Amino acid sequence: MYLLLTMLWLSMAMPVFSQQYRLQGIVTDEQQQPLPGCHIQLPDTLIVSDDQGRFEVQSRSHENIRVQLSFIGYQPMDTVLTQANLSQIIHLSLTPFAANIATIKVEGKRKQTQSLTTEVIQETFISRTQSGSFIHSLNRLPGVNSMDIGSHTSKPVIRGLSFSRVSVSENHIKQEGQHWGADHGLEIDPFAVESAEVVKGPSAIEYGSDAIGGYIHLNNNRVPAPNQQQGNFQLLGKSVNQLYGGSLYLESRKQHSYIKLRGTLLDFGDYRIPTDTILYLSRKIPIVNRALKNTAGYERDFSVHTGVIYNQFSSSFSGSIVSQQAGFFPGAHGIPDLNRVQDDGDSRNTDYPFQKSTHTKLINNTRFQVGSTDWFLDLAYQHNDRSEWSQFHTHYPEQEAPQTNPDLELDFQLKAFQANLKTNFQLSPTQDLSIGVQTQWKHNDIAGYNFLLPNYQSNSQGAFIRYNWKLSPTVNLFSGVRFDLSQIEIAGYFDPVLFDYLKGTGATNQEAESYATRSKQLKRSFQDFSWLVGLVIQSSSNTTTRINLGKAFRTPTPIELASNGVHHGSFRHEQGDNQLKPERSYYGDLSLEWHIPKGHYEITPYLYYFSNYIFLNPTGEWSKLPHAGQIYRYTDSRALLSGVEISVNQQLLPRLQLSANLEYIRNTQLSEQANQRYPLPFTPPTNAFGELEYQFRKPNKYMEDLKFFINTRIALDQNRVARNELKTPGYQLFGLGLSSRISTSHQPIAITLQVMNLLNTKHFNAISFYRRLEIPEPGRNIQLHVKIPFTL
Amino acid sequence: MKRIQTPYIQFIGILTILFAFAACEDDFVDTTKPVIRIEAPANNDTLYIGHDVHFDCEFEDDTELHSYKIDIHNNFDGHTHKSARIEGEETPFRYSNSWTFSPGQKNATVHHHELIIPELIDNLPVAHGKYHFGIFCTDKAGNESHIFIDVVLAEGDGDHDHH
Repeated sequence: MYLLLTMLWLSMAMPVFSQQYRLQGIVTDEQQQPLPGCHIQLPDTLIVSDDQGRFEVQSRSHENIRVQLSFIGYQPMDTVLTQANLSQIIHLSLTPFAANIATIKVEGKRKQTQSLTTEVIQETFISRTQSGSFIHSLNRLPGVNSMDIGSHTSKPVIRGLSFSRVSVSENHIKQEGQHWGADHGLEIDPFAVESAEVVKGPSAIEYGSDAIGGYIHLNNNRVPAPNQQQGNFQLLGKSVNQLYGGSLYLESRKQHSYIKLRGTLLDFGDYRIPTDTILYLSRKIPIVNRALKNTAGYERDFSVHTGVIYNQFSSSFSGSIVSQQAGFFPGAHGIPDLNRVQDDGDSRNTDYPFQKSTHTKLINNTRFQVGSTDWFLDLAYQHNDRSEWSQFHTHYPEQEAPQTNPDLELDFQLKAFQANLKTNFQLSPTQDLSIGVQTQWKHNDIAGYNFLLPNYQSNSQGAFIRYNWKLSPTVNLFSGVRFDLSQIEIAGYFDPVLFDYLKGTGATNQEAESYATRSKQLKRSFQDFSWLVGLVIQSSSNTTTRINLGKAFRTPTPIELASNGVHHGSFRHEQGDNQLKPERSYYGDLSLEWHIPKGHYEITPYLYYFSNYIFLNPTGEWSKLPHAGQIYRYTDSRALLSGVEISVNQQLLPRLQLSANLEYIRNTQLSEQANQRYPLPFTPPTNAFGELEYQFRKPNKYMEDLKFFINTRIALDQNRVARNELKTPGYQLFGLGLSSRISTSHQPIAITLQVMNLLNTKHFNAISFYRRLEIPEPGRNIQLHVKIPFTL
Repeated sequence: MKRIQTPYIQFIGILTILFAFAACEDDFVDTTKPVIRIEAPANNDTLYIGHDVHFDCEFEDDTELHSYKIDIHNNFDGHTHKSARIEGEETPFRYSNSWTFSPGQKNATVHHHELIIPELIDNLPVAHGKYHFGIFCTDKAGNESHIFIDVVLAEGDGDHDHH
């Protein structure tokens, strides 16, 4: 981090002073938030911006004035103010540097907003790690992993918790999709993320009771700078799946109104794995050309934002559509079949089976000021349409397929409406209070010849209070309490296709009926409190201690209450339990951070106690469904989850920076009987990531920030597995790359060229969908990302 | 350096507590799947309509076997055609049955002829052709293994040897 700050400053000519001019300005970050304490270097003096980010200088020159701004964690700005500027209040906006700005927060230069460990992700990080899947790039953060489905789809795992235990939101609106499935990703345009925040630990207070594991907030409502029309074009190419794609972005702002447009296209082929055969269910399955057949797909995204901005009122509307399609490897979809893995001569086509999803979202974010109080209102409607296609007869060979969409296996249409209202008060110079209410309505419709999840409708209301108190200059108290109330109505479902099938196998009427009653009507309501207390203590000028204690709860999801079926030829008949109670968890963590010269270290141990952790457990009962083994039922168990994250950032040489992190997780079901103390499913192995970055001297006048980096990712063996999970051997991967900014005009082009999995190492991700199918993770990948900014 | 001593002590203290906690007790849980070794029928064997099936299979588990299941269903045309139905003349054979091992059994050699392929189902002849023959096995803890072999159902008097 500090290395990044040792930037080259050009020398400059001293202007001649003759007359008095008054220069007023304001410094903000990229989100137009004031930056107090920013250093502003003028020709003959250094000044610091005030609490509101404002500054004022007397100058005797009518000539152009050179100003150099620096603020820790931000790109320095070196600009010349012309005479025309001098009469008005000038607005200077700084762009943040890479990855982890958490360091800034503890230095007190930025207002602390919470006590939980938070990683702030800025544009440089996003640009560097852009791989076409935003979530996948997060797995280099401590305590964050991604659950991958092939080369293009990922889901986040925070501290070993995933699915509905991690909330993802975009502009304060929780993303609502079908995230319960290990093979379902998040429908997010990877290029549309302007900045993000990853909060580790239960974030239920403000974001809804689900977020027991953590919370990822994606932000793309940055307001463009005034009176500018500009944009950028990004290009991405990847060798591992022959992905090519691009994203075009345009923004325009007058003084008080703006519009932003983005369109993204990504197209990819079958991805390569470093093996010629896989061994699945005791069959050797050839991988023709080392490419996994039928894993090609595409993504098409479009979004528009428009808004108005005034001092006491701002409001923005956004609409976005993200649509994706990707195939599944047919050789391991259900019973292995060699006929289905023969090369079809086309590595970019998608045949059965495949999945398709379209996510449409309309969001309004409004902020207004009444007196000295800020109010925030968010309204959103979203529609997630996910369908899974596979040929009817592969499931029910001797029955007649449905008339319409005969090969539509599963279809989920989830509509969700959400409204948030929040206000912040300043009770005293040291005390802040925020109060908020939320309401959400969801409706799920199903279609398709197969059945997994019934129709349902749910609504929930939540209210919270947060109270922050600066007890002393070095001690901050953060506290919050939330109450949630929710109802869910689940529809019954009788499956005529299954009834006929079971009758055909000679089942009695009664037996066939009981199986074919896939879902029974159910109405339940849930309510509970969540709370969190945190202390942040800056015990000396270079250490910060954070302590959090809390209780979180999570309402069982419809899939946990009422699923009943086989998902994707997994041979698992998965069944919900409609009597499940809300999952409750008590939580504690301790985070120690300290700064030594040229370095930053952090260690965060944590502990969760669950009185009833909900997970899918085998029952030992055989299922009568076609192609199914035993029934797996959602069950709860007492559980203990503990872990530690360690991160190190150190400048080794003036131009050489080391950043590394390590994550260790251990969890277990609690039981009187030692032979029942199984680990929880989907637990990432102990893993580490390290990167060395060397910043070259400016090689020529066109190139800036030329950096070379080399990194490694290590995972140890995962032998602590739940029932029917596979033990996964450890691995070490290497990567390297170059990044630079090339300036032809005043807007530099950013280029990153890198190689991932340099040695083409065959490895398995213990928590990925394809692990169970013995399919290794993608092989070597060379990728190029170019970002070309332009002004209109 | 003096200023950073306290955090280092805390750092080491926390690590010690964590590792002590992590190492406190190892689990005695069973995550080993049972092993299925199928002797008969073998892959690509022919099974004869109207006859019994010679089933010979070894099961083994490190703790205790629980149950096994045989599941047979057709695989006509290798899943290439779209939704089709065999109209009228014949009907595909389907079979699903399970057996429970005696308590405490760690390995078992199962040999029986209980599985009979009838000539007629609902007065229609059984369809010949390619079928999947699946064997599933669970142990007491719920660990599951499954294997599938390809078999062909055919008419004929079955000159396969009866043991």
